[in-house]
Amino acid sequence: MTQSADFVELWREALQKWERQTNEALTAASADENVSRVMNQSMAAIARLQAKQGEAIERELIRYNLPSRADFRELAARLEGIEAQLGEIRDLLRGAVAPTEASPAPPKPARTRKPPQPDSAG
Amino acid sequence: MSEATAAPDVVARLQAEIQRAQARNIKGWNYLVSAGPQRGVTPKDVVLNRGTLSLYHYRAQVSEVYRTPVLFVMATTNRAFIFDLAPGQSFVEFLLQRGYDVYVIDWNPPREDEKRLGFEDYILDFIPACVAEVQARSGEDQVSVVGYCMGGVLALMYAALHGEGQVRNLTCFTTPFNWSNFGLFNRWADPRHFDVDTILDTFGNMPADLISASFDMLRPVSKAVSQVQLWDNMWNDEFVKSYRAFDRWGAETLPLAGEYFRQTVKELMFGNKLYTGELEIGGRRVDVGAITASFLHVVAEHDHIVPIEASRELVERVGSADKEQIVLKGGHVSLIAGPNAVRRLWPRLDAWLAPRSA
Repeated sequence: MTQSADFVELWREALQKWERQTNEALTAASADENVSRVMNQSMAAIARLQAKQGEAIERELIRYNLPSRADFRELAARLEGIEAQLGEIRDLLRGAVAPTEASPAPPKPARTRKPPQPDSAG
Repeated sequence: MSEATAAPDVVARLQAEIQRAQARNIKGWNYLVSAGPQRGVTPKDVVLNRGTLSLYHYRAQVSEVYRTPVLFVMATTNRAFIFDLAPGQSFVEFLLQRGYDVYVIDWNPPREDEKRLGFEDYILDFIPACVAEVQARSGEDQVSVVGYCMGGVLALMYAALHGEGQVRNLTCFTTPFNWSNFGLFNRWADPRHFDVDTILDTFGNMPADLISASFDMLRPVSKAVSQVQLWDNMWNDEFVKSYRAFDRWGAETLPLAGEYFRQTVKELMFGNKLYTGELEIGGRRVDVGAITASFLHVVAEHDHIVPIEASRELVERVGSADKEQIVLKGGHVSLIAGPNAVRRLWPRLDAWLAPRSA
C-alpha cells in the first residue's frame, strides 16, 4: 500500500496512539495520593448517602404496607430453593418412571489415554 | 512514487472504504437488533449447585481420556464461560478433544444472605466439595486443579491446605502473589483512604459496578476506543462475533461476597499475608511452600490487571520439586481466550499437562 493510500491506516494508528497516551496520562494522574483520597472519600460518601436513602425508602414502603427490596430478595431466595427442590424431584422421577426413555447416560470413556510421543505430537 | 500511480491507489482505497461503510450500515443494524452470540454451549451437566457455587462436568468428546480429571477454578469476579466462549473458540472444547475429563467451578452472583461467605467457605467448603464430587464421579483420588486470576489464588490456598495427595497437578494463570506490587490497585486501595468497611456495611456484598469501574479505570479510555474500533470493523463478521463474546463477558462482572472481599482487601491487599506467609484460614497457616503437586504458572507479558511484578515470585516460593513458570505474550484476558490463547496458551497447557495426567 502506498503512503498516499494509507489514510485509513494512519487514522487507526493515530487512534491507538491517542488511546495509549491518554490512558497513561489518566492513570498517572489517578495514582496521585490526593486523587486516591478524594476518590475514596467520594465513594464512602455515596455509600452513606445510598444507605440513608435506602432506609428512608424502606420506612415509606412499610408505612404504605408495600413489600421492600429485601422482601423481594427473600422471596427470590425461597423461590430459588423451591426450584432446586423441584429439579431434584424431576430428576428422581425421570430415573424412577422411565429410565429407558430418558436420554441415556453416555458411556464413560476409558481413563487409559497416554500422552502422544514427542515425535507424534500435534 | 509518481502522482499518476498514487491516484488509482487512492481511488481504489476510497471505493473499498465506501463499500465497507455500506456494509457497516447494514451489519450495524443487524448488530443492534440481533441477540448476542450463544456462549457456554459445549454440552455439560451441572453436578453441584449451592448458592454462589456451581460445578459443571463437560461431556467427553473422545472415547479414551487421561486418568486424572481437570478441575478449573474460575475467578470470582467473572463468569466461567470465558473458558467456553463459542464453538471453535472454546478452551474447554479444546481440552475435551485432547482427551481431558473437564470440570469447571463457576460462581453465581452471591445473594444478600451470602454476604458473610469468606475465605473459610471457599477454601474449606466449596472447593473441597467440588474435589470430592470430581473424585466420586471419576473414581480417581487425584485431580489437576487449574485456577485463573483470583481463582488461581483460591486454588493456591486450597492446595496449600489440602496437599495430602489430592492435587496431582496445580496450574495457575496470571495469579497475584505479591500483592504489594499491584501497581495502581495499591494506590487506590491505600489503607489510609480506602474504607472497605463502610462500603460493605452499606452494600453487604461488593457491588459489581464498583468492581467493573475499577477495572475500567486501569485503562480509562479503552472502552470508548473499542466502540470506535467496533464501528470501524462492523463489516467484518469474525471481528464482530469475537467482540460481542468478549464484551458480553466483560459486562457480566460479578458482585463479590462481602466478607470475602473484606478479607481480600485487608488480608491480601493491605497485609500481603499470602506472600509473607501470615495468612490463616480456619486457624491454619497458608504456606505455599507446603504445595508439593507439579506446578505451572502462566503469566501474561502485557497483563494490565495483574502486573507481572505481582505474580512472578510465586514459582520460587511454591514447594513443588516439579515446577515451571512461563511468560506468554498477551494480556489478562487474551492469555486464556481468543486467537492469542488458541495459538499460545492452549497447546502449552496441553503439552505440560498430558504427561502428568496419564
